[in-house]
Amino acid sequence: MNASIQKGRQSLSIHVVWMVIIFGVLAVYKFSPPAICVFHEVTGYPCLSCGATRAANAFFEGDLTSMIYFNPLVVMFCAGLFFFSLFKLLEFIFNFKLILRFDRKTALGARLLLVVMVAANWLFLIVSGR
Amino acid sequence: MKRYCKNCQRITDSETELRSCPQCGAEFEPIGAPDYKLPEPPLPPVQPQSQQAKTEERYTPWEDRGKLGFIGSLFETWKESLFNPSGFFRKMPIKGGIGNPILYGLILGFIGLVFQMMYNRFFGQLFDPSQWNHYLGRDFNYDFYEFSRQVQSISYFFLVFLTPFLLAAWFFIASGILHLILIIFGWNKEDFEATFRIVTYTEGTSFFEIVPFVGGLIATIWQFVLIIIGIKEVHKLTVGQALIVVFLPLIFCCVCCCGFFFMIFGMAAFSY
Repeated sequence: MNASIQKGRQSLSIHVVWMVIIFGVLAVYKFSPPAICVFHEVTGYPCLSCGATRAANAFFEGDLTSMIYFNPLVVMFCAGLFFFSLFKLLEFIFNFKLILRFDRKTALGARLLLVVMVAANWLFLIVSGR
Repeated sequence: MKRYCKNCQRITDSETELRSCPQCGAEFEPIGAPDYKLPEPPLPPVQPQSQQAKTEERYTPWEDRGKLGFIGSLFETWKESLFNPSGFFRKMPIKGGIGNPILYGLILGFIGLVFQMMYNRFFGQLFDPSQWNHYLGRDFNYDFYEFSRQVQSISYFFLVFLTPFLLAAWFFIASGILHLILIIFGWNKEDFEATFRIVTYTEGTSFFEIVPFVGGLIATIWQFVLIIIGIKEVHKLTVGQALIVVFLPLIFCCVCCCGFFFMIFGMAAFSY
């Protein structure tokens, strides 16, 4: 992996909007009735995002432990996206850009790690009986 | 015999062996010198094919409103994206900001919603239970019915203001999910903006909601088809790969998420 910093005036990244969207979606989840998961109804198993509504509720109640328990991957994904979005905003404010170049092996490793995390999260949801 | 002058960078063709350049007088290198090499004649600079497509052919009528006018560019983009999707997405600019595509998506999405609301109102009045309840001989709670109609009117009112935000959020979420799948498989040939543009420019299908009853279904199915074609053309994938990208999240993860968003949109519109 190769990392370098490019200095100079940056345009506002499209990814900054994720910060707003995450909070918007969490708020909509919070104030809406629980949705029926079609995947769960058909197969009897939870889907990858099952527990997201309950996690959103726990977030607004400030209960972080429950939030992670309901769906760890959704929480990690939202947090990751939030910090990524925040970093893009900082790049714009402080006029720099972090450029990461992944070699083939690292990129493949990262993808595999992501797949393993998704599978582990799913297994956790099934085992914990959601 | 051809000789190359390193000084003036010219090639001289002579039948006799020359020792110096007739143009500038500089001495030629001996033919047997280790680094002696007659350079190949310079070729005209050729851009790679993909680069050519990016710089020359990328064009969307909607982003050329100054020339075609607002209505003209909207109609041309709508027609091209719906009925010649392969050509449209092949030519679609993959950079240039999200303002234009998001505006296009919002306009078409809003038109679709307006028709949906109109039909709901129209058919709601046509099949008004308070009218034919008398013939069925049942008790009917007119107060509650009137209350529900008022709630529906208020929800319509708020939906008009909320729709742009919900639609914009939906564009980001849908394109974010699609792009994430592309990244996981390593099939993302272009940036997130390209995927975002695909999603917004397929919103033209909302216009099918002008057809009563089945319009929404037609719009949804055709939008999926367009997204598959768009991903195939923009990210240079096969049809199979594009199908995986579109349907994998739908099957495994987002059935309830999509259902959730449909529910939000439908709550006000179908609240009878």
